[in-house]
Amino acid sequence: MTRRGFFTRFAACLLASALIVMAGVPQASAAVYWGQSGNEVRRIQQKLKQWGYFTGTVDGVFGQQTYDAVVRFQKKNGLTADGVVGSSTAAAMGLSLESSVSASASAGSSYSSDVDLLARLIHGEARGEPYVGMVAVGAVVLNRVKSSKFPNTLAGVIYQSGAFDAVRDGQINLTPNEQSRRAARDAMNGWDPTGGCLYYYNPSTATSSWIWSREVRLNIGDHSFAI
Amino acid sequence: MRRYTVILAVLLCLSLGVNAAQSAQNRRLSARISTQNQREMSDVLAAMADIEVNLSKLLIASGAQQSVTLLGETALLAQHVESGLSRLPLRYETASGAMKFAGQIGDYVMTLAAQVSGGGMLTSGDERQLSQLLDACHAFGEHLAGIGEQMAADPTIALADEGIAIGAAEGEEAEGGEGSIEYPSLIYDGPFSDGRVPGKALALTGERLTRERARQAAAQYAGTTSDRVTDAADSGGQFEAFGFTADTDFGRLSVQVTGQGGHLLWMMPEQAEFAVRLGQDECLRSALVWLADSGFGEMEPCFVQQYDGMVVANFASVQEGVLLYPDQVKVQVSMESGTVVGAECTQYLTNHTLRSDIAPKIDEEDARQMISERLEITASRLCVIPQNSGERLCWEFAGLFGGTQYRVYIDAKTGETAEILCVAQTADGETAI
Repeated sequence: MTRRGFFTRFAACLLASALIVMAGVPQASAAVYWGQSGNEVRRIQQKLKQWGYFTGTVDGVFGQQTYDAVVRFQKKNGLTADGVVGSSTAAAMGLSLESSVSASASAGSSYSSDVDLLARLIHGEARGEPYVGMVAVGAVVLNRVKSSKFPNTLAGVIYQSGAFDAVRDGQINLTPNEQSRRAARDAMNGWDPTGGCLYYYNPSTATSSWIWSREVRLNIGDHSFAI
Repeated sequence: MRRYTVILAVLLCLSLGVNAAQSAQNRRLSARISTQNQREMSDVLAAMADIEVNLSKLLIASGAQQSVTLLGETALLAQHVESGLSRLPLRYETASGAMKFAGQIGDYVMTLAAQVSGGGMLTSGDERQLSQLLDACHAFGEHLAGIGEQMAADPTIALADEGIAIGAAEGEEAEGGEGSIEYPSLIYDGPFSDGRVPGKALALTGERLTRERARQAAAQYAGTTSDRVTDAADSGGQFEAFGFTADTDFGRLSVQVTGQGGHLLWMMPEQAEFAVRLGQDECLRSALVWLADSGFGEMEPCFVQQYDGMVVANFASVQEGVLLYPDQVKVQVSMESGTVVGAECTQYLTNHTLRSDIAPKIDEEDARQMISERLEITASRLCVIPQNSGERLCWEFAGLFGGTQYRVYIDAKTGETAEILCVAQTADGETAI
């Protein structure tokens, strides 16, 4: 490779890296969308109601009816019908958006981070298992949170010393796939295929004599679920 | 040849240098972890010592205000001990007794605080139990201090993968004397009380079914025919159930049907995602039809989410217009076909029964007076909510404060505030916390 060729490639790599880094920087956005609440949502609902797109209650909560109304408004006005009130949709409504909207964002983000943490554990512990088995692993974690014998937070249970192999070997840090995320959401929403189990193990690899002494309630894929 | 010898010597020096640097880094990391563990242990021991002092003061406290203050402080300290224990490198199978003990201290003193602040007094039974608790706290503190000393003497024990054993694992015989610890049984009216017995599942009625009859029931719940339902793993425990896999026109479903009565325990789709073709209202209507056809009676949706092309809704039973929150069935409806592809019925099977006393003593207007004026009330209704022990008939007021939705529950018999829930908006819908 010539020196000039090397520098050209080096410069190209630098440029690409810079672009990747810039793409990863979160941009402040003034969009209003599903799940948010507050005065901005109320103003949008009032506008949509005034023009007949929205028939629900003006309650400041961006739910299904508001989403449908926004989509109808966008279609009618030749905008991208994505249900998100961004700058162009807001301008078409005669509104200017403030930079922050939701007063309940902290509660919502806490729920989202719990789902994410549980999804990472499920991915590290049970990817490759049948879907029901993935939900079951999530349910065991949540049963521990509810039990008096374990820490009373999701992070406390997941990071308890020696409790999960995925924490010990670092697999919990892998990015979870969509199936793991869905399993985490189902478990958080109350689906518990194990019927309250607190433990699970793989009978072909488990070496602890103690874990073998637990009463097995259900077998799914490679895992036995026990109390 | 000499050239190769020089290269080898350089490589050897390099590898020795790298090895020395890595060893130094490992030592620094081990020292840091050891310091963190010892600091955590010191905090837990200090909190245990403060709990002991507070419990001893409680035994001689005479005023309600002082007792409530001491009980509140003790609850906070117990929470501190519980979270500290979960951060220590303790072998998790052996930590369950200690975790339960710490949780029970907090739970028990909060129950006493509610009793005293409500005008009650500490009974002689409470004082006897407090005295036992004081002795147990002392023994537990000494046991922990012993582990702390071991950790200080040999920091490497805290680095072992399995963690440090704290007593015997649940169900295992203690090896007697050293290493074993006895926790007292605490009986009180709280969720962690040793006196609590798991209730019988009220809706788990009907005769025992054969697998074939359960298969027919599974086919009906899944909306398919028996010949497309194959055997899968069964479940044990309170809800002993037959397991099946049902092939339907809309995908494959896992289904569990109880051996007693053939009730649906849960159903779950194997498919990861559905296309969005139908709206939420249409899916909810479809769920209501399925619930009625499946014998769940009159129900109403109380929480709705939407993800992966599914409407996921919690439905609660309704009796004479009163919403029964403990009797919930969670239903997943495909937004592609409008068919029910998932359901979770454990809460319903556990709690559903005909309530005998759902007449309020306090009318809605009087209950409304108990709500803060700051809450802008948007809806109200009569409902039954679950509590730590039993359930309560309440007026539910939904409202907005500072852009956030709240639900406030006023006891319809006593006028007390029974519960306040904050409705968090998430990308999937709403969730109550």
